[in-house]
Amino acid sequence: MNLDALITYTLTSTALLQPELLVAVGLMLILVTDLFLKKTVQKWISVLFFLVMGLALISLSRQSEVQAQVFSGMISIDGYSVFFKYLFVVSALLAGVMSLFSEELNQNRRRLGEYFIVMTGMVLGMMLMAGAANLLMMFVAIELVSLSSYILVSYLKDDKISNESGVKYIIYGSFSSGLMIYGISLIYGITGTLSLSEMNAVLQNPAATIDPVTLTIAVLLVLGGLGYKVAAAPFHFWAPDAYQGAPTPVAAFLSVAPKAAGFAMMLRFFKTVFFGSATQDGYVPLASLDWVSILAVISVLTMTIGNVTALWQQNVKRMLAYSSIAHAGYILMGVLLLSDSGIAAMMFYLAYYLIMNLGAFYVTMLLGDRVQSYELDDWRGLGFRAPVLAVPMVIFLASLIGIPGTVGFTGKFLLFVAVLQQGSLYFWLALIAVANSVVSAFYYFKVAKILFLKKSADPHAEPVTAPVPAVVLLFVFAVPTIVLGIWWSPLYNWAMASVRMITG
Amino acid sequence: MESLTLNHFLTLSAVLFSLGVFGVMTRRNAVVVLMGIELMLNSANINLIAFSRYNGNMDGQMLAIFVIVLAAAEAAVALAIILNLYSNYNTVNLDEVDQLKE
Repeated sequence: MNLDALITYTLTSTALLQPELLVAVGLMLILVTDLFLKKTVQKWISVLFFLVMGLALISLSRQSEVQAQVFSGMISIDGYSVFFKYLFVVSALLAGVMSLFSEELNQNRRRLGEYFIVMTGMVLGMMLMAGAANLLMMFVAIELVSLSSYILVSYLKDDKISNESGVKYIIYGSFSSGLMIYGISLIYGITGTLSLSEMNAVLQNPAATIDPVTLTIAVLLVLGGLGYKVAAAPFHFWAPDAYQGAPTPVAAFLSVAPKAAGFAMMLRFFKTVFFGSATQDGYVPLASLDWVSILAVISVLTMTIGNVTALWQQNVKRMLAYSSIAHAGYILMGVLLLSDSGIAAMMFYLAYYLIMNLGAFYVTMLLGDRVQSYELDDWRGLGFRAPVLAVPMVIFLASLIGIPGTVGFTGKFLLFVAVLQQGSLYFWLALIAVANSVVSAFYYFKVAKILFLKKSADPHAEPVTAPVPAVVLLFVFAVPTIVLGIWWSPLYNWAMASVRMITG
Repeated sequence: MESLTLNHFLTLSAVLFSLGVFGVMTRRNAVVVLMGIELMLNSANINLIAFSRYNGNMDGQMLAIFVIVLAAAEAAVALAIILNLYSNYNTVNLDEVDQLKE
């Protein structure tokens, strides 16, 4: 390629990456503006953040028609990645609004400038994760997200718990990225390329001699990095500590957006590298690696460990952390199914999980800020003191269990149907998942029981209220949780259409 | 004299990687744990560069440069957090930092 062609190519690529560039430019803009804002008015930096995210949403709608590989195959732009980019931007917007109502974040006139800068960086990293079609890009993107989340988790500098969770998080995190990069180096050694689609070509070539044991070890190591991002067993240990110590809006954001990004990347990695050909509604895996069984074991382990450990948690944030581990287990079933309907069910699950889990964390934040405690014992009888907050909480909990009428039921239903469509081979997987859902009902209902059926220790306790805008935001979470449960087909159809557009 | 082959580099990197994992698992000082993680990242770099030479393309070396940059960024963030830990707890011993429990 001569220089002129190279420049033209780079410019075309750049033009196609508009949303990512917008977020990157916005990041620098927020950074510079924050330097000049006085401390008293620095809360206005959030306006700039919302503006950048809003613009990113608009430019995403223009990217949805594009189907291309840019920067010599580094990043894929397709309907699949655009679907996830919408999720990231929307969850960043919602988590951003949540942060404005958080007392932890706003006490002592803490500077929120850095907070929004880092959050913007995280959104950029996740957008790149969803599109990464090259091991180099995958690693850089995942590190960008990780580094940003370490900072956000330990954001409350003078808070011991936040600090401790940050240290634990960064040690687990960098350990698993160490595993991942070692795995990447082995894969590179075996296949001689970093591009996912070229890797697929090498694996399909019958003349190539590839040692299945080495390949399995390498893929397991890479899975370590990805599994850590989605908090799948055995890489889930960071999640309870990090969620409990982090500021609640950060914990909420961590539990939905990077998880979705991790799944987006995991699916693209496996689907691009280890598939032979596609059939009607399924794909034929390459024989060199039995990753379906590996993922099935991880999925069962993850959901069981998450649900069982959540049973005896006394701290609401910690309980929600284990619940999010369990949900990662369910979602993993969608990844390993090798079918369009499985992937679409996974995407649908991630999309509504965003709404209901952010909602649950949001109520937790509002109640926790007012009671000054996240321990369940201190929440007794809170339902009658704060009905406006507690009733939506019950809706979110019902949806997390999967009670019919809420979106949680629809999502689980679609996922289980997709599992059963794959034949009796997966029957036991669906069975374990259903049993797990039953177990999960115990601890979700425990919260509802404590809110409404237990008497408060102090009978003359004051009613608990929240400012009107905070309650309005609550309805932004609660209404879709119900409405999507009944009127789910547009979202599902969108997910299905996006699946068909995955490019290598 | 026998010349250096790919296997020599792979063995070196495997040893370094194992030492790094061992360090992370056994050490209780947060800074030493970080050193273990650096060893892991750099063992991957040796692998990448050796494979890059062996495969005859530049992809591996390119990735190695990125890994070096990211390792530096990670060390910066980690040290900042550990510094903050020291000012809150007056220790960098991970066993003594245990307010979060089951």
